[in-house]
Amino acid sequence: MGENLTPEDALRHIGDVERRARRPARTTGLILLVMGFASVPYWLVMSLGPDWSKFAAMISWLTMTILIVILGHRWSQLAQDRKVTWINRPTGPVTVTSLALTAVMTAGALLLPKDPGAGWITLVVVLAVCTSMPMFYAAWRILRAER
Amino acid sequence: MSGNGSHPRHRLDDLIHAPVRLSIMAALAAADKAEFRFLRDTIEVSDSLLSKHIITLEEAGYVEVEKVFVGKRPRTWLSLTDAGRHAFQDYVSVLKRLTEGSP
Repeated sequence: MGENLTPEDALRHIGDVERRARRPARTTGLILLVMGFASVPYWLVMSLGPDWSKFAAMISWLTMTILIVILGHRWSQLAQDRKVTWINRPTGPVTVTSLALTAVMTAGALLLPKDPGAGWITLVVVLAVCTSMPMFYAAWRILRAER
Repeated sequence: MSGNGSHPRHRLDDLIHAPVRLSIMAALAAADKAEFRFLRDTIEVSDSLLSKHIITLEEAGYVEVEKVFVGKRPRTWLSLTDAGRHAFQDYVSVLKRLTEGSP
């Protein structure tokens, strides 16, 4: 880009730079979106699936979590986004709600009868969907900041 | 500023209206806080050129520079000050007025 910037060039250039600078935050938002979608089948399998599928789901979730923690740490050394920092706060609403719902789902999976009836299954499905909500909300907060 | 005329172009902040400094301001407005190397790679300039323009923006009160150590590694974090953020917002609104053709 030359020294003589036209207003159109300058606006286009600002858009390009903003897109590149927000890449770590955007990727975090997309990962949260994927986690939100993945958490529904994960909790359904953990609550209602056979033992072998519970083991596979747990290994997959653990692998995904480790990868996300490593990537998240790497990105936090490059750039810090206000929204991402707010979402990652250990005492923030997203973290607290996620942990609370995870505790409910874990307790539910342990207390669930061997042959759950339609009522139990409906409750598990509703709770599994609720568990994904903090992740969808976090993804929405990050991704809507895109200009 | 460019001058004292009434046309909006005279209200363009000359300090920002230069390719590298504009890139720095746009990147910091979007990322909130960026590490020196990330900023260098994002806007594709050399270390020395980036340092030179960061000093100019820091002296103008637009950019804040924070040097920290992570273990033994030095890290330089850059962010916009409130004045820098306002200046950038004003600059963008002037650009929009110019491209929309309104006086």
